[in-house]
Amino acid sequence: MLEIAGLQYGYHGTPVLKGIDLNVAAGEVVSIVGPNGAGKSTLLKCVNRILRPTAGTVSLEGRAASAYARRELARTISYVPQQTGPTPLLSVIDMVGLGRAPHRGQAPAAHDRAIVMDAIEAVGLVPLAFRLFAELSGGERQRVLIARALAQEGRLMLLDEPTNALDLRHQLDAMILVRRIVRERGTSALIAIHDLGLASRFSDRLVLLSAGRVYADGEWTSVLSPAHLEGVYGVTAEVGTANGLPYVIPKRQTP
Amino acid sequence: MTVESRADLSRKWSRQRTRQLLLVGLGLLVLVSAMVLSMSLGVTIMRPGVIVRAVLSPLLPSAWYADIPAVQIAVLYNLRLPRTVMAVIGGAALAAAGVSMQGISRNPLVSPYTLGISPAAAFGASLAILFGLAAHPATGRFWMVGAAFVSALTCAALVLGLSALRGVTSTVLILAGVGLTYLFSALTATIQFVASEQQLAAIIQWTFGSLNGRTWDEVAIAGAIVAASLPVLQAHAPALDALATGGDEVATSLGFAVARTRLLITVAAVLATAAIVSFTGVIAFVGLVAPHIARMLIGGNHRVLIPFAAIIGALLLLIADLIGRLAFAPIIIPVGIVVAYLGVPLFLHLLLSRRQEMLV
Repeated sequence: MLEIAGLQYGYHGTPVLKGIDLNVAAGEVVSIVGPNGAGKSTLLKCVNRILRPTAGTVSLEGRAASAYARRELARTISYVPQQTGPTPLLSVIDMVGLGRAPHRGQAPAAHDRAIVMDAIEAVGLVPLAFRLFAELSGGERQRVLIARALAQEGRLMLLDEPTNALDLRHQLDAMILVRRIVRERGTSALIAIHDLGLASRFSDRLVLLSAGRVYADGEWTSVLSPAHLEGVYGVTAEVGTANGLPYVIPKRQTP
Repeated sequence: MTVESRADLSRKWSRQRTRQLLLVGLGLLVLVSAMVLSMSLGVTIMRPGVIVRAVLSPLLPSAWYADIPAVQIAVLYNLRLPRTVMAVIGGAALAAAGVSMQGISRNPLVSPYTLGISPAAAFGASLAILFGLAAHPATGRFWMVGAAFVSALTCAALVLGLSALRGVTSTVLILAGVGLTYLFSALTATIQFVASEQQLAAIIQWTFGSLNGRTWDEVAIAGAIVAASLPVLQAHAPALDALATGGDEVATSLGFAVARTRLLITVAAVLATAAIVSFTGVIAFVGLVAPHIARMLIGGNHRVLIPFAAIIGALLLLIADLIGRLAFAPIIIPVGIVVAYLGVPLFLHLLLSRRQEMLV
């Protein structure tokens, strides 16, 4: 689905990504983890060309992302942004409807309407469809953004910190929702996320970024070894499973 | 409004759209009524039936309006109708430009004047006054409007050029506009400092913003520019939704060409604003507040918000002008002054009565 090779990017000459290689197969959920500033969000933005990589290639389904027209790319990749900035005065249904923007004129309006309603139904927001986005709780807002990405119908979904600022219950909600969407639709997801436990539990693979490079890539048990965590985060940590669920407990900073 | 099921959702969605369109239609109806009212009141009061028949007289068989004195039709056609139409065009243009500028900048404090257009126009008009061009009986008006328009566009081009150097983001756009606002205000103040008493009076008069003495030529020119600009804004309604909800990144991820879109919207808004300001002088507040009033009444979906804000802006300006003409008749209070007295209480009322969430 997604193949990234030798990807580089810098803000104003300061390199942020220093040659990233990463693949996401169809039907796979891959999480990018790593410390603040490692380049997780930047990597996502390079994939859907919100940012233009300075070197390297991103290809989608065998074709270079740079060869896609803007709208075509928006039909291929759905994006769930971090929640920042002023909250808009749009209703839930209008927010989700924006996901159809790259499809406008491609199918009858009735088709677009049906997909918007499907998306709202899929995330369980039917009762709130006409509420203003600004009136919703953080967890509900996250579901709206995921519904918008659903309506966008991309075969790859990028999620930027989808559990940030959510309580425990809603963190679970969001991750279970993403997992379910990928399973039901046969799409893929690439998630930038801080929470190592959630990432391990809900992803097929983890990619550990450190200072703009891939430090480790694979199943969580191999990626999140205590040695890796010490090398990347500078902490000693206990990693294990409890009742089959992964956990990571940071113990202390290493000098 | 709670929704029980998928079928219920579909039904209520259709109903919501119908309701929004009805609200826009109702606004139009009120606007047309206000136009008739505005034309019927003046030194001589004409009945609404007379107004309607007189306005439509070129289209009607002559027997239908034979009872209306020709002088009344002349007064209507040469004085009241152009004035009324100018108020509608002006209010609509400033409000639509305001909605769009607020949308692309995600900033509720932005108005059509944020890019420095109005002080720049005032500077242009002041220049024309200072050099005596504006005093010429035949071409004075042309020089004054022309200088204001050119100066306003120069300022907008400077702002866009400056922000192009740094990448056209909304913050850069606003800050560059703020900078040039001060520059052009200082330039105008300098002219005021060296101007004669009469020139100073003319400059100050210009900045009040007024619909006095608008002719059909002026209405036609301003109207043509506005008619070319507003459809551009309306065509970008979905992009404005995306920009207003998530800024550049979200709009880009939804397939919009953000840089080009922002430039087109800004240019259209600037042209519409400059066209009005050059003819009427500075009419502040409409472009800032009509968008908010409209948003509180109809919501943030730009597809309906842009036309509805335009209607609200037109209404606000029209009613303000009406009050300005009647309150101390025969003295006419400039509409730029009255609009604040009318708009502020309305705005504050909505501000206090609406929920916090409705305020962007």
